[in-house]
Amino acid sequence: MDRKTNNILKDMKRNRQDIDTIQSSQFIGADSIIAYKTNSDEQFDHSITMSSSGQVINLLLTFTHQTATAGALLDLKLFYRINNPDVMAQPVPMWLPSMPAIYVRWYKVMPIGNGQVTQWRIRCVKNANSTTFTGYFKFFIDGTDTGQWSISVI
Amino acid sequence: MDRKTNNILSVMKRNIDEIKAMKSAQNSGSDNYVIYQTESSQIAYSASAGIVERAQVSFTANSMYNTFAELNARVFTTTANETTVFSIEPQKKMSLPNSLVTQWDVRIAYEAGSPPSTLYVIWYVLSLDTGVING
Repeated sequence: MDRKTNNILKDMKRNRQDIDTIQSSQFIGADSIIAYKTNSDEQFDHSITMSSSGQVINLLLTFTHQTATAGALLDLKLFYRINNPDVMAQPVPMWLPSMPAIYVRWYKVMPIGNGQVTQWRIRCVKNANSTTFTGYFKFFIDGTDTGQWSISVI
Repeated sequence: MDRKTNNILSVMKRNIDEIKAMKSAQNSGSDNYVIYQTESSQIAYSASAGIVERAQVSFTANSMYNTFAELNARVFTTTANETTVFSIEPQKKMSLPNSLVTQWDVRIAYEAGSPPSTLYVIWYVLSLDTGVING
């Protein structure tokens, strides 16, 4: 085979590899982006116990991306239930008119400094009585990457 | 060069141009997308009892119509004191089709004692495009 043809074939092979790489993350011929859903099969992913009136526990949820090194678009859905580990059977609705025994809010920590992780701060506030309650949490993370999470108290 | 070879080279050049265009929108070598983080200047909002009921924020993308955009924030009780004790509830507004602009109504609540009368906010937008934030 002459050199010219050899060069042509080499370029075509490189093109094929590039196309395979791109196709692995985006359906060619369809207008959609590959997205991932990350969650466990467990009844709950984390629990906290609170007993003091007005007690506050802040958690840091760190999600380490499987692939993305320069940030990922991720959405955290958090559900929780009080005194029952089967969270998704009856999670606390976010539209309650009165404060539940444990009140939970969360937001993504900005700016993103390390492109390999995404973090959320979760704020748990106990209501105004001294009865002990245990809050059970489930996490669902949707977005452009999958990965592993870890929880720490801050 | 014969015509057959010329045709092969033309097709290859088109392929290469298309691949280059696609790779520019995606981190090459990994199955992910280029994400842009846009930051606003620090903006002051009046806060009644530490709550900003409705901050109106917009993000105008550089070139991508209908792009995905997610809004987040850092909150300060003075221009220099950042706080992590807050909640933020952005509600994205419906936008016109084929628009570069995404808008939100945002409620921010400072959740500790001695609420300030002003909250200072730096907005961040994570998106598939760069752009400008107004708030």
